Amino acid sequence: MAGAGGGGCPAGGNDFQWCFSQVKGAIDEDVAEADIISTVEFNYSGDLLATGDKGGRVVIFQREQENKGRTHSRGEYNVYSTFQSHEPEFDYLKSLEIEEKINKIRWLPQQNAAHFLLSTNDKTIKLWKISERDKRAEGYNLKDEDGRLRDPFRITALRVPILKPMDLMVEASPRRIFANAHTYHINSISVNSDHETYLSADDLRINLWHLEITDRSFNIVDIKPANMEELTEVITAAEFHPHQCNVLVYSSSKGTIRLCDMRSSALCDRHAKFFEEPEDPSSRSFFSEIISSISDVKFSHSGRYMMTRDYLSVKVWDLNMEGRPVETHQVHEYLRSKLCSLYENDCIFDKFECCWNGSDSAIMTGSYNNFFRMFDRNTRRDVTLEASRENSKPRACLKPRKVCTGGKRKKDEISVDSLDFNKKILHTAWHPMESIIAVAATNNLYIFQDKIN
Amino acid sequence: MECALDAQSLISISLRKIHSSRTQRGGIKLHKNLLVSYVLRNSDFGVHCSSQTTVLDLDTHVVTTVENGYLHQDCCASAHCPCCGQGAPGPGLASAPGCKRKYYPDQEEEDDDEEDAGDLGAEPPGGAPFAPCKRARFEDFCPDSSPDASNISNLISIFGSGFSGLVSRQPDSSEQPPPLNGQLCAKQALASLGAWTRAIVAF
Repeated sequence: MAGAGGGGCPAGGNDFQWCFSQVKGAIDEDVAEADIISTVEFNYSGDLLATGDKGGRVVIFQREQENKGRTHSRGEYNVYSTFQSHEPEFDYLKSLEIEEKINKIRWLPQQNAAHFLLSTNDKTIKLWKISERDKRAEGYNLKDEDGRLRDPFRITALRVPILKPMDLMVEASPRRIFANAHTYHINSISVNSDHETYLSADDLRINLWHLEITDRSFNIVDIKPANMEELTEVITAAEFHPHQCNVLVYSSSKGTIRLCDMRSSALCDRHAKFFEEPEDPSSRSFFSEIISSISDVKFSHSGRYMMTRDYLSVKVWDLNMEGRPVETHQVHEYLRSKLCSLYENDCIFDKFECCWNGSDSAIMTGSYNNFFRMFDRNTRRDVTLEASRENSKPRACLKPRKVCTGGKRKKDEISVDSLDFNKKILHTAWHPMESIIAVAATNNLYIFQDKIN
Repeated sequence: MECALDAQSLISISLRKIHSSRTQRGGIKLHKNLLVSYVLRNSDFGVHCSSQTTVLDLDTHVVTTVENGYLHQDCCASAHCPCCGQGAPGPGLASAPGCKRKYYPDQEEEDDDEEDAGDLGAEPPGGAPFAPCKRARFEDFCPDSSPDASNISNLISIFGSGFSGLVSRQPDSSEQPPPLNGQLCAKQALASLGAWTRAIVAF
């Protein structure tokens, strides 16, 4: 089952098969912490795929042009650029180490030959320009070929430098650094549909920036109470509406979502809409607050819906209905009876992300044991797939996986107690137009495509 | 939901998480600590709503259980406690057979206006159980005690005030714990959980 990436494909799930395409990253069993992928993002065209890791590096893959001669070549992603985006820092005033881990990457819409993206760690957002250089100027007057400056008094004739071709070089340069605006840890950045502004959100505040201006930002949401002892919730994610540049949403640790309209007031502390599903009192436990905390919020491409991810489920909300979600999909309900252990080993704090396919007909999110889940919104079918080296033969189709929750375990099923909770898929991305997905499994990036594509 | 850990263990684990968050790379994670404090609050209510009423005496580090009118000292802080041999640490330990102090209804001091006898499963006749409630003095603590206890003493030395917003939130009547001195005691435990929030405010 798979949702169609573009228009024109039927929603019949059975026609699509997800197949292995590529895997990037070391095969080593011993995973270096710095290599753990912390964010994955396709650009607007899907030709570029960016990953950020805990070591502060960004790796960008570019899709190769499809070779018409080879029918099976469906455009592989190869490394395009690698650069160190953030370094570890130390705040001496507060005696705090600031991690270099890349929390989020967001691409800007392409406006010229160069590509721009925003990357952020806990405190600082950077705008990077990625550009190609395939020509080199030769014949300078003031310096000779190896770059040494010439004595101007010895120059007796002038020449016009000429451009000569050279091997393609991809350069990444930091164009803007947006710093010192966040006291708490940044969890989200989101580029506005006006292509001029973007927001950054931390636990308690959301700031609005102009892409050209680094020395100031506007605070638009502030939920910090006057007395920190009265704190009851934090901001967990925020995003701009895909089309309405005045609308943004932010989710909270209490499982609620607030939609704000920047036209109504400069400070959006008062929400325009408040989305909350009443809690089911029969499912109350010690961990109710933790599992209801929203870890990700994403607008649909259409802008009519938004999706939220909490620990056990994914919910789709209609922006016109605040009282409850229109869809609820259980990701791994079998974990509900294991919450105690998951609290002990900290897994209950894992922040899973979710994503839409290009046509908003399907949604995807990760789970444990390198499983990830897809839900087809039209057929109501769901599937569990696994990202593993064992299923890494080229174009090998992924077999649906099943978790056995009790009783007799069938062949090919895996029991809940055998799940590897160290293998978690927190970050996934779906190509904006085609049926191509990128799944980050610890330090490996898996790319899957559907057979028909 | 089945939970393999009792409320005391959850409290112990939670306090340890808060303590270790101070030394984690990247600084204190406000979100995670807030969620942990919710578990602490829920554990506290769970503790009070169970048929055994268990409270942590922050003063003597004695965890006492009240059951059917009898007080059990589950674990003792001081080394000279006759029932525990070498000084045993704070919450999280299973109750050990030991000293029992009989509860006399006349000794109770707290007001019982909102008392609903039906809330506590095995509430002793004569009213709410007695529960000692004084501020902890952790400098009295036995140095040979387990890491749990030294962590707690470190925590308390860090803390000043905490998420009273959680404590003061009015739960619905179904989970309203009976108003005990022990509840006040536990409230103080929760209230003492957050001097690190002061540190964040200073940023």
